[in-house]
Amino acid sequence: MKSYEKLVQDLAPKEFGKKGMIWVGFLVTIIVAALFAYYQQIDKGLSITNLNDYVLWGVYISNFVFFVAISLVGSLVTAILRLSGAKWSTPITRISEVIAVAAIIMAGLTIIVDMGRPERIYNIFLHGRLQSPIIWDVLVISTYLFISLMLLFFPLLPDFAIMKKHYENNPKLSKIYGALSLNWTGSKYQEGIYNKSISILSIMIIPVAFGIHTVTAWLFATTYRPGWDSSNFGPYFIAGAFVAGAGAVVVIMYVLRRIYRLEHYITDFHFDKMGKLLVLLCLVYLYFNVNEYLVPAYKTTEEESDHLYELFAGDYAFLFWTVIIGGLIVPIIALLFKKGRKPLPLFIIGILVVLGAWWKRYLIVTPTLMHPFLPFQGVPKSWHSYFPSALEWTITFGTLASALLIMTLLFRYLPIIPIHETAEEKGLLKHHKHEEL
Amino acid sequence: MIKSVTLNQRISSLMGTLLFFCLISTSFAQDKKNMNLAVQYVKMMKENSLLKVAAQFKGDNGFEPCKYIYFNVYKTDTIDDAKSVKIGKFLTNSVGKATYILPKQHVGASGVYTIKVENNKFFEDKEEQVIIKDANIEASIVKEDSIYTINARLTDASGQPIVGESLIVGLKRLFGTMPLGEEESYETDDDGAISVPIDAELTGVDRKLTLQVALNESDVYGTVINEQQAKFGKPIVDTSSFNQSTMWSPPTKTPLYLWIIPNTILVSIWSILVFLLFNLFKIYKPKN
Repeated sequence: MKSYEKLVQDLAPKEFGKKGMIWVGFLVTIIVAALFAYYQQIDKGLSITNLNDYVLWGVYISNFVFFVAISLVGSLVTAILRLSGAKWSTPITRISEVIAVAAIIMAGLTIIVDMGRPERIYNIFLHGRLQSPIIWDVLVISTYLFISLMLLFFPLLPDFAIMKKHYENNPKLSKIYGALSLNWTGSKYQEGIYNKSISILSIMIIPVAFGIHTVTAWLFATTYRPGWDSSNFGPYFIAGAFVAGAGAVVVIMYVLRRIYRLEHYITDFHFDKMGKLLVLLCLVYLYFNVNEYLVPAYKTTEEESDHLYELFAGDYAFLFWTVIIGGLIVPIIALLFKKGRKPLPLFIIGILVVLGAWWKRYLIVTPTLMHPFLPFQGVPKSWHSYFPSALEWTITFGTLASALLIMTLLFRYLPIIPIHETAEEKGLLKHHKHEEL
Repeated sequence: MIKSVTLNQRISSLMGTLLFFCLISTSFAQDKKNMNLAVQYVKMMKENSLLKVAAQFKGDNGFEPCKYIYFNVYKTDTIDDAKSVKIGKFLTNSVGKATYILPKQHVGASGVYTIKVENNKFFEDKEEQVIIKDANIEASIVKEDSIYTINARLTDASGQPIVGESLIVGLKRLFGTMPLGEEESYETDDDGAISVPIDAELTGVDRKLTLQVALNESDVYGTVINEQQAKFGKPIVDTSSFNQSTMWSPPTKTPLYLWIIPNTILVSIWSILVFLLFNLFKIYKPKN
């Protein structure tokens, strides 16, 4: 009885402290600055960015691909690990579901940011061609968002009921949690529907998650461009997305563990497991990277070799090798050792992986656009190179801050670790019900 | 107090005013530009006679078209005739070109056509003349020993053959005329005639061919064209996918499989999602 109450006490959402308020204020400041920058962009058009006729997909699309990649973690941790019976993942399922929801919301919004005339978005639905991967992307993103929300919401039902009871001394909050719990009593009938629904969602989210990232890869692969013209792009993107998502989970779980003192629930064991998972994913992704660069390098068609030269030894070489070594090879080496999978080292590796993942998307999008098949002619000199302007950076940071704010607010009001599931696994629930009877 | 004004002052004041107006008018005159005019007389047999006009001026960016400018058309019977009659007017298009169809009553055995730009705000007055004697081309297609030949005869207004003029034989295509025969052009013989065998491999939509015999930009007769329709070409097989459902078609022509497969997947997934929403409702209102 006491154990159960302690569990609820430990895992129930907590109010922001001073640091939490500062963090929220910091994020809101960035978002406000980004909104102001976006207002300017809408007012004056995309011409005030550094995007041009050649690099028409710049930092915004890189950022969009990054968000889509991160969102894949929902299917990895929640669905794949759940279905494979990996019980150790229970404390991090909610974290990954929240990350997935925040990322997919921001992916949808980021694509709108890249539009010069966002008010014309309805034309996509009115005149969109089903032959175009862009339409497939719109359809699959909206479907994935809905499934992610459902996968977040369903497992929360018993937790909402627990929260309703836990916050009895705060009637307003208790009422909200009560409404969200949909009259959850934990009856056999409800449990049956609940378990069945989560199983269906877990199965369904996997092909949709693969679909969302494959379709995003096809946005590039169906365009005949050096660096993109690859039949390998779908699995290459999925492998990269798993790496990015797992890295994000590691970072967030470390931060949340520290802030909310969840050391008893998110233990070194979980970090070790996530470290092992991350190294496996990194190795798979490294394999796909070798494929992506080795085959065109062997063929050395003129355009491909120009593109590869830019990456390996040209203008993008520093960034490219930093991303490959810092974001992939160093994490692999570090994670092969047990000490590398301890919380703090893994947290640092997670940051490296996430930063590497973001810049990797930038390297996928931009250098290719700088190598069109037709040479640059009669265009302003500024179009011969691309680096995002301050305005683009402000908006991009705004989208990243928005994703973090969504996560922060969800973690503020939702139990970070599934209480009901944890209690069930620890055998506390049965005991608690017995006591109540 | 009335000031007395000397004659010299009056003269200098008058001169100053005149000088001012001269300068103003000169500056306006400088704004008016000179245009270059090119006029071509074209007679389409059994159809109309036309004047094809191209007008341009030397602007800041090289030669630029004189767009949307009105021209008047005058006609006299001979070059010495002082009584020219205005027979019509036309407007150039956005590239400074115009085609003026000569009224039938003003087309005769000979004529002097003058086109003029007059009292235009932007351009100096300008005129260009074409002096034309009427000529005709009669043409026919004959088949001998499975070889098609186009026979043509060039005559003047009185029906007398015109000897030694070059006629061009061609096949009319969408963007121009494809020359036919082995020679670039064929000189009319003593009877004003030419005879040119036609390649049997020519292709045409529904086998239709438009063959053309033309006297091209003659100094005396202008351009005279006779077109003959024939139906012995090899049929063109339309390989265009414009009306088909392809991956590059507009939304109304989406391939059927692209309708069926993604929509089946979408409907299946969303049906399950609706079912799951219903499950939420069942959790909310469990059966008693």
